[in-house]
Amino acid sequence: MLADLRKQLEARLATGVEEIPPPIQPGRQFLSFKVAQQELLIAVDDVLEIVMPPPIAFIPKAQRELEGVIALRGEIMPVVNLRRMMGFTAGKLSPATRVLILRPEDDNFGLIVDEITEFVWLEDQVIDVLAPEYLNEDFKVVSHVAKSAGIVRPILDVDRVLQTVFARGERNEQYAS
Amino acid sequence: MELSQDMRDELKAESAELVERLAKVWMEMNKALENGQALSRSEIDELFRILHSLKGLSEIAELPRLVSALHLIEDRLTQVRASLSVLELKDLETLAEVQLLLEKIFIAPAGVNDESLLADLEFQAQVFCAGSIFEESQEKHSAHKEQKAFATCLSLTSSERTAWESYSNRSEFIFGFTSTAPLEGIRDRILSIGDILVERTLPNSFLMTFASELDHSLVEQIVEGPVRLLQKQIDSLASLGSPWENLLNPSESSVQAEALEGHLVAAQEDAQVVVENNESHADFFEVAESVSLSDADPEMVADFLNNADELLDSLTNSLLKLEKNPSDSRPIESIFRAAHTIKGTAGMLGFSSIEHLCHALENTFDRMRKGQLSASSKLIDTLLAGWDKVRELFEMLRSGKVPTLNLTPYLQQLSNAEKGVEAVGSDFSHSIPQASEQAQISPESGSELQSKPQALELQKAVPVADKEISHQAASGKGEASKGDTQGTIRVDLKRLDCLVNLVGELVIDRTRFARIEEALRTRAANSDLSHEMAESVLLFGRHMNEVQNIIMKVRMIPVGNVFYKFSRVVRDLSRQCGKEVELVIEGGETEFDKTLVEEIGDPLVHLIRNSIDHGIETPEQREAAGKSRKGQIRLSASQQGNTISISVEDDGKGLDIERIRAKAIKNGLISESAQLSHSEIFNLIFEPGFSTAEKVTNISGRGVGMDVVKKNIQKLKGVVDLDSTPGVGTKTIIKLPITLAIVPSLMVEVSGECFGIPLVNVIESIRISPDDIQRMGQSQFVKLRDQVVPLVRFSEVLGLSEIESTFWYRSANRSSTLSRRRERLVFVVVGIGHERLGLVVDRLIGQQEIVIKPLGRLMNNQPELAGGCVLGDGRVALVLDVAHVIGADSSQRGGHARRSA
Repeated sequence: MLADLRKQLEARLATGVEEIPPPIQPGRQFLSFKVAQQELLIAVDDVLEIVMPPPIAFIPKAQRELEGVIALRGEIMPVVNLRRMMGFTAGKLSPATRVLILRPEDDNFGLIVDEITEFVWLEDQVIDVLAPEYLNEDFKVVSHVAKSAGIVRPILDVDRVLQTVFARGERNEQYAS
Repeated sequence: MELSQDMRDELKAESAELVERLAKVWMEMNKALENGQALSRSEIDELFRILHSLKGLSEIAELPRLVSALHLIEDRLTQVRASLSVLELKDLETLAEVQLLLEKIFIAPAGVNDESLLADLEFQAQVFCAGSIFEESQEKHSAHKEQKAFATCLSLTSSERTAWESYSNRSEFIFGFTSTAPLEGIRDRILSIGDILVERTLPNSFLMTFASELDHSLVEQIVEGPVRLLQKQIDSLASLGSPWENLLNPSESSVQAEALEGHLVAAQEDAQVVVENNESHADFFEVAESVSLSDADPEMVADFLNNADELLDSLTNSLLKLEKNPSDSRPIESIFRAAHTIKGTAGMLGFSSIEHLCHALENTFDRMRKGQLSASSKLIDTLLAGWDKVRELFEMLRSGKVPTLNLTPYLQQLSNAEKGVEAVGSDFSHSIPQASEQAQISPESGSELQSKPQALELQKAVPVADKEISHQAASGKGEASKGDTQGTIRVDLKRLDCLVNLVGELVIDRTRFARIEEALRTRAANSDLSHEMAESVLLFGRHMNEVQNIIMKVRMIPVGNVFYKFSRVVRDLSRQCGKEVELVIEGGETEFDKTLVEEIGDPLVHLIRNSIDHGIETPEQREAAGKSRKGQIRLSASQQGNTISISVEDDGKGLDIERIRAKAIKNGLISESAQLSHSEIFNLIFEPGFSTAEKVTNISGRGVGMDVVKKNIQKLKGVVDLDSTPGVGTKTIIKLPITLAIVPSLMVEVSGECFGIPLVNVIESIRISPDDIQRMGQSQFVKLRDQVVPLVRFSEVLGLSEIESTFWYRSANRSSTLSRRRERLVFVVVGIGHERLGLVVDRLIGQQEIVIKPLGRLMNNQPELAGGCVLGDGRVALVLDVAHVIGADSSQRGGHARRSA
């Protein structure tokens, strides 16, 4: 069976008529999740995995956006409290709570979300850049919005999340000294 | 020249080791000479080996200036080895300089290209070599003259003169070959073993003089004719017989014609003489080689075999590459280098067969490199067969036999292959069993008496064999140990670290299993399953311990490597200060974690500098105080359980308590009324910027050194302790955990969270009633035996009060364990040096071995935390940095300025 396929493919390549199969679905895939009733999107490419919330260790005097640290297969990584970062009310663990493990370059970190809602394919034309001046301070971690099926959902920018945490860390250090 | 990064790393690693060994042997030699003893042969040999290896390294890295400088030093040592010259203290001074320069050259990133360092080294090498010239100048001079004379009487052409001159400073033998047949056929064969220096033609006969590293008997077999070993002196021409001897006295040339007629007849007799000569030469080699073999350190041999195996593999690869693409010159270069390295090391260890074979192969490669030969597949085949022979020799060596093979057929084959002729050496295949048979006979024959006659018999048939037997006899003792030697392997430290980390993970897993087993025991007591589980966990734990021990041992290196370097520091500094100081090293063989050994050097240098500069008095003062003129610094290392301790002890004047106190008051470190114990006062000198020296010298006095010591040691999770008795001396003890990777810690619970405190810092844990706490303003103390210990709440130290408001996603199954029993307080006394602090915790969990990991780059710097560790149940526990906690606490209590800010 497989050998047949290969033969067919080889035959096709030999004749020089190389057909590139069309993509299954246009656009990029996004993960939709909820934080304090707000639905947000994040590019699936940015997400390494989704885990049940592991026990989090509290880090005293850490940046307020950080909830603490978790261990994922022996590696210790910080967890970002998105509710606090975006200025929502306090939340607590529920059966639907998940931690998204994100992978910006080499430092992984976790992101606590209240609920995963769906995976969606979005074409480029439904995604718009969001001018930062329209957003309040807490929504600075959002860079784009997507309109689909009648709802407008902000798209979370992992780099901006990182920047916010770093900036806060530096400010904290200045304050301490 | 630019070296590749890999090459540079390799060079650095190898040379660092060698330079360390050099420092060690230097120290031993220095000690011997200072005590008026003669240097032992083994020390000189070791020195020679190290320098030779360094030379080899430089050669591989293509650093011609280094090679020539090291060669100069080797020349002198060769004379020392031949008892023609003696090393004196002043030579050792030079050697010390050389060692320092080598260290700089090899270790510094751009050291190998540093002009001034190289120039310095060349200068020192010349100085070192000059030491011998004084003794040898006369002899050498005359020898040189004679050599010249030899050359002049042969009336050289200009090209021959350059050949001759280039030979005059090399160490090969020089041979003369006379023949009545034209020399053309022989020339190629000679080219394969050495360089032709001179060719002369007389009407009836021909003379060819050539230099080769092969010994007489081997040369004999290659050129198949009456070959004479010539001296570099003019008289040796006489041994060539007529008509060449007449060159000695050109005036007698009238006799020449007659002599020439008789020559053909004389040639017959010649052959007889040659055989005799041959025997006497063989004797000479026998002696020389048996000496070097018994000297061959089994470890070095094992090292050599390992390295050579690698080289052989890469060499074979390159050869195959070359066969595919004969025009590519890169493989030849690498082959050449590999061959040269094997040859060099084999020669150094005295395995002449390997050396000769490699030399012959190298010559072929050299000609390929120069484009005189092209890489035909036949030639490659022959070369590969040659390397197989080398491998065979290695195997013999590995099985404890002396590596010898009858190489003649092969060399013949090689030279044939070079000429592109079908190999005629059909007996080539026979030679292997033959040789191995011989190798087997000799150990069985056992006694030297028996093997001697055999040797004589074999000598005629296979001249190599006699050497083999004498080897067997000489190395009979060494054989057993050779069989025992195990291979070593050089491992990338990163891989090792990875392994250590993984073992750390397994240790965590073990803890997890133990927890499951415990749960199983309580829930399903007495069931088969729980028994089985308990047993498995026990076994797993035991194996885990073993693995952990072994993996830790892998990273261990003797601390002596660092210690020996200090002998030089001591020597230089004591001279600079005009003091006489002796360094005594104890426990240099104690093994520490590699990172520790690397990191410990810096603080120790500071301590030793302090001892010399401040501790030890001048010889006059010492005499006045009734001590010996020579001060002593004792550097010792030992291991006690899970900690290692290193102490630096001097017998100097000790610390001046009053002066330190006065200075500390002046600097505002302590108040005038403060009552401090002696040890507390001593520990003041670890404060940054603290110095009692009136003037800053270039050795010390800035008050930086001791601060650096303390910081460095704390970084290594260790403690420094200092004790001093006025007039008797000062002793500094450094205590370090044996490894940095796995830290035994006391786990405690505070505010529902789990924390680890490294056990090295834990003095004790105590339960007291709240009534025992003494309050002074906001501070709390507790009297513990004779000591007053300040008491701090763990949760306040870390700022855990905010936990309730900011920790939203706390797991439900935690926090509840917090017992609210307030009748007893639990606190852990932590300490660094003499400082103590009591930390009030909620609950003690127990001791656990943890692996400290960073919290991630995102987390801003938390000075109170050394990092985190993963617990058996997958939770993360934070690990306290006790040094920082104590530091912050004492500065809060002591510094009034801080409080007001």
